Amino acid sequence: MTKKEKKVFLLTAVLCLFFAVPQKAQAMHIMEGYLPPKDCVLWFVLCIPFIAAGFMSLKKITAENKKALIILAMAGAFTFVLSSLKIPSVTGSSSHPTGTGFGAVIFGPWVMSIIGVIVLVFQALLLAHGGITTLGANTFSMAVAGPFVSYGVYKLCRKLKAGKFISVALAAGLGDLFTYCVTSFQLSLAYPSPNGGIFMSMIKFLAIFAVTQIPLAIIEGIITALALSAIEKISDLDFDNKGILKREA
Amino acid sequence: MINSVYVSENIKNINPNIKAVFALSIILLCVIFKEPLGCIFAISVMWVLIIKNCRLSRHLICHIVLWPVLFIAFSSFMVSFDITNYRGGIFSLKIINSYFLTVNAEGLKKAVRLFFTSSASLSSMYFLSFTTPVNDIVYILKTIKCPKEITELFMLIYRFIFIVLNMAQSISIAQNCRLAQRTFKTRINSMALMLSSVFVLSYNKSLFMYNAMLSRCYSGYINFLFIEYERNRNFVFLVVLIVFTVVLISVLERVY
Repeated sequence: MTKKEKKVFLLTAVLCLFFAVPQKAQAMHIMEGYLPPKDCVLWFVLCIPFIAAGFMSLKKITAENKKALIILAMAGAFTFVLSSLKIPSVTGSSSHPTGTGFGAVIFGPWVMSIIGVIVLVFQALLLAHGGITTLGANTFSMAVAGPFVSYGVYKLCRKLKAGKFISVALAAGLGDLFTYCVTSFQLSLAYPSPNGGIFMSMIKFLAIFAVTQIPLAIIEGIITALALSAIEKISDLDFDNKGILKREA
Repeated sequence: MINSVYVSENIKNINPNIKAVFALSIILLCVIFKEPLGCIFAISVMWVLIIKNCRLSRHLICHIVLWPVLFIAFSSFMVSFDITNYRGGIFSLKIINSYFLTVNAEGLKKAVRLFFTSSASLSSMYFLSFTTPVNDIVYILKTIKCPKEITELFMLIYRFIFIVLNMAQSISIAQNCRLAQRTFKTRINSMALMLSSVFVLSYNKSLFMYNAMLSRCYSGYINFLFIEYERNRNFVFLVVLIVFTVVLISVLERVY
């Protein structure tokens, strides 16, 4: 390759990185039509147990307390709006939080899986982020994997007697990072490298997303922790053990 | 947002199930066949139907189409890259030790196919979004016997989105007026404060709404009212014709 060709290639690669990473509201969504049919089916099937358990949890909560449905609906709308807000990013661009860590800490991961699916359907229908064929894959990464990791990290930190601020920040940040790892795995499974297979492809996708996703995860963690501590200061709501839903029962 | 676009009565009153089946079948066909010509046909037909039936400004088209299409274009281009331990292909660039970032003809071909597949699927998705209001989506959910808890949650979330969005925008404008976005630190702080205020306000609003619903005899079940939908034979014929043409073009392209 000549020097000129190298320059052109580098410029294209930089442009590719600039546009391919989440910039304008695409966050970590996999676009409509991006996955092959077998992958669409695989991720839909993998989501079914979580959605079923989430539905049972929702049914139980709403049977015990009718008000919970309204509160959960507001939580869903909040998650939708949260995921469409721009948050400041150190890479110069602005991107969007997933909001799942926030929801998982407050309402628990099972209910968040159902709320997450509905929010993803709205994002596909109203904002054209994600899609119907990729709903299974997006649900698995954003409404199942992210919330469960966030909730697990939060509970673990609280058990280890860590402060609320640190616990929430770690939960939201690691949940976001895990979402990005799962999305990279989904893409590498769909488009494995002809030479290095899924592993090489995953390295490629992780490296591309890392440019904005790692700083974003840190920022989302800090913002979520600041927001939750501010909520506790300006109201008498308690987040431990899904306090909001229990309080209204 | 897409939902605020004017849609002509002709397509608005058509049974939403037919529109959903049409859009989903085109998406599935494009994803299964992945043939560029079939996808180009699907894109053209969908945008003709959208522009003919919806009043869209040029600005809105640019706003809602430009970013997703750019995102698809560069994401598809990303797929054409490969990490190899040898030089080769159209381009190759040494990254670390004996590893190279390469682009070959096969990868580019795959990227082009992916771009058209994703664009056609996105166009079908836009057709469904523009022509089917959320009330009609609830009708589709009822038809496929979706549990009532999920249907109710779906409708309530939709209602609340606008309330929460309005609150977030108002607070954001107020913060901007007070130079809250001046530095990185103030941006982070104001974002956190805005989120907390929106959460507490929306939580309180949800409690008020529950009381309002109780005073209107809410017993844990929300009744939805739907308009009388048409089963327009011409539209059904058009749908069958388009689906058949997409299949035909894709099969012919694959064979030849």
